[in-house]
Parts: sequence; structure tokens; C-alpha cells
Amino acid sequence: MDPCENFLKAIFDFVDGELDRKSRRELEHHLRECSRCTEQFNRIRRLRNHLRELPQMKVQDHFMIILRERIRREIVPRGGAAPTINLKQISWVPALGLIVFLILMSSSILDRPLPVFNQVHTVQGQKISSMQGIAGSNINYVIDDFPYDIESEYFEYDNKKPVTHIDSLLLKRDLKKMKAHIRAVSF
Amino acid sequence: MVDLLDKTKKMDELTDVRVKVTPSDEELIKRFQEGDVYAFEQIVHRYKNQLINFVYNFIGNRIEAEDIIQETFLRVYKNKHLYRNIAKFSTWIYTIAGNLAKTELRKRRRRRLLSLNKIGYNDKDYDVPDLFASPEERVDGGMKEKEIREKILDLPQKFREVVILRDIEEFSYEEISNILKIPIGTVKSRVNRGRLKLQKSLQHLLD
Repeated sequence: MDPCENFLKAIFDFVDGELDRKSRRELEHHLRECSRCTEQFNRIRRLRNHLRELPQMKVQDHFMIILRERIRREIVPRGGAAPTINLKQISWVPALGLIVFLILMSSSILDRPLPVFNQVHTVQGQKISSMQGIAGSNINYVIDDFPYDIESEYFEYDNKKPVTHIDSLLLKRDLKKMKAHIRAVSF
Repeated sequence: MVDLLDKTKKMDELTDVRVKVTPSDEELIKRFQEGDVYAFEQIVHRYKNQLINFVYNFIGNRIEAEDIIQETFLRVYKNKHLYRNIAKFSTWIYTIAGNLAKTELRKRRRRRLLSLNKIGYNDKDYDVPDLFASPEERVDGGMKEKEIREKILDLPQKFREVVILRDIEEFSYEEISNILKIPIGTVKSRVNRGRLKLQKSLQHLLD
């Protein structure tokens, strides 16, 4: 076997800076005596320098603009960082159970009115409620005598009992009751 | 003596400030996971040129490389919740970019195959990939650079990716092992074999 072959790996390790002191001394000693390995060492070192010195590429100036636009178009409309579902990760037995459960529950759920988002502000002593209907339109109502205590700007109705909450939910039937107390409408 | 202590203290404070204003990649992705979109922009700013360098050397087409980097950042944005702080962020994002680049190469091979089938064996007009897109690069980049990049592209894929990651991107063997999900020993052997092949094809530049 060619004795120089053993030093080839050591040359690579040396160029990578991963050679321990003892092996490094042995390699240095060998390089002083072997011109072939010295040439090989120099070639590898030069190759590495050429690769390191390759000019760095840069993305085009409008890269960030395009990326922002793509995020706005492809991700944000779906509600921020939309979670992706990996079908492989789904455990099918519990998933099937959940589907059956949802089907069973759906009959009772469908009987109930849909939730309507509602936001209430107090302006100059008047209670103004901004209600978003099912169609998504915003209508401002001035409410004369609001039937519930308002504890904060946002609130939630759960079974007619007011609860302070960040995101307010109002059941459809409560909305109807509220409309009975509406004195004027402002847009 | 007191002055010296004061100066040392001030230097320490300055160092602290510097450390604080340069968050690590892992801190940035954590902030982004918590909803800080500005942290994502900092990640993009930090990685966009590094990644284009890696992908361009890997596939040899600037426009496609830029598309891949765009897609890489979109995936980071969409899948930020999948990053766990057990691996370095850089290895995670390079894995995404590398996988997308490999997919692009597979598509290209398929396209070329279809194209060759369509042309037939006797036609000379083969579908050669556009290696260096802009004419300015051909002039400004210099022949040596052009030749080195071409020889890198001539390397088989498994040698090319490790040589780029090790000798151009300067990742450690352990990091490359994490990016490519292969053992360190395999990485080392591929890097060395890739270097020998490259050395052979670029001999006139190295002697």
C-alpha cells in the first residue's frame, strides 16, 4: 500500500483545522520529505482558498418587496401563520371518533342561533353599540336603555348573562332583544 | 485606578448593549413564534444572501435560486411553529432551502428528459439549462470564477452539496450532518471525495 495514502486524509483534516497536535507533527515531518504529498497539500489548500474567495451572491433589490407581497397574498388572508395539516401525523382512529361526535352534535348545534360579534362603546353618556351582522356589515346603534350591565368595552353574552371578555359574542336572539331597546341609528 | 475601573465598567456595559442589540437566530425565531413580525424580517435580512449563495452554487440559475429562497422564507413563515429550539436555526433553514433546491433539480431533470424525448436522438438542439443567467455576470465575474462554479455544478449532487456547505458556506461537519441528515463520517468522506474530483477538474488553476 502506498504510504502516502495514509497522509491524504491527514492533509484534508489539516486543511480543515481538525488535526490533533501529534498527527500534525507527523504530517509536517512527512511533508518535509515527500514532494508529492506537499504538492497535494498545496493543491487542496489552494482549492479551498479559491472556493472561499468566490464572490458572494446577493439577492435582487426588490426581493423583500416581493416576499412581503407574497406573504400578504398567500399567507396573511388565511389568518396569519395558518397551521398546516400533515396527513401523516393524523391519528385516524381519534380523528374518526371526533368526526362522528361532531355529526351527532351538529343537530343540536344547528338549532341554536349563530353567534354575532358585538362591540359596545360608551360615548358622552350614551351607550353605543357597534354590531356586526351575519353579512359582515357594521351598523352603529344608539341604545337608550341597554338591558345588561356593561363592565368593559368588550363583553360576551353567554346564556343572557353578561361576562367581560376580549372577544365579545352575542347570540342572535339577544340581538333581537337588544333591537327592542334601540332609540336611534347612526352610521 | 478608579478611572480604569470606570472605563472597564463602561466597556462591559457597551458590550452588554451590543450583545442585546444583536439577538441570536434562535431568539429571533422565538420572537417571531410569539407574533413579532419584525423578527421575521430580521431573519430574512440575515439569511437572504447566505441562502442565495448556497442555492445558486447548487443549481446554477440565479432566477430559480431566488424563487427557491422566496419559497424558503414563505415556508419559515408558514411553519414557524414547527421549529423547536433543539437544533440551530441555521441548520433548519438550510435544510428547507436544500430540500427545495433538490426538488427543483429533480423537476429540471424530468423537464430535460421530456425535452430530449421530444427532440429525438438525431437533433443537436438539446435543452441545456441556463447556468449563468445575466450577461453582466459573465463579464464581471471573471473566467476563473465562472469556471470554478461550472466545475462545482459538474460534481455529482451528493458531493456538490457537501462541498458547498463546507468550503463555501463554511459549516462545521456536525452542522452539515444535521442539515443533510447523514452521519458525520459520510459527510467527511463525501467532502474529501468531492474536493478530489474538483481538484482534478481544476488542476490547471491549482498547479
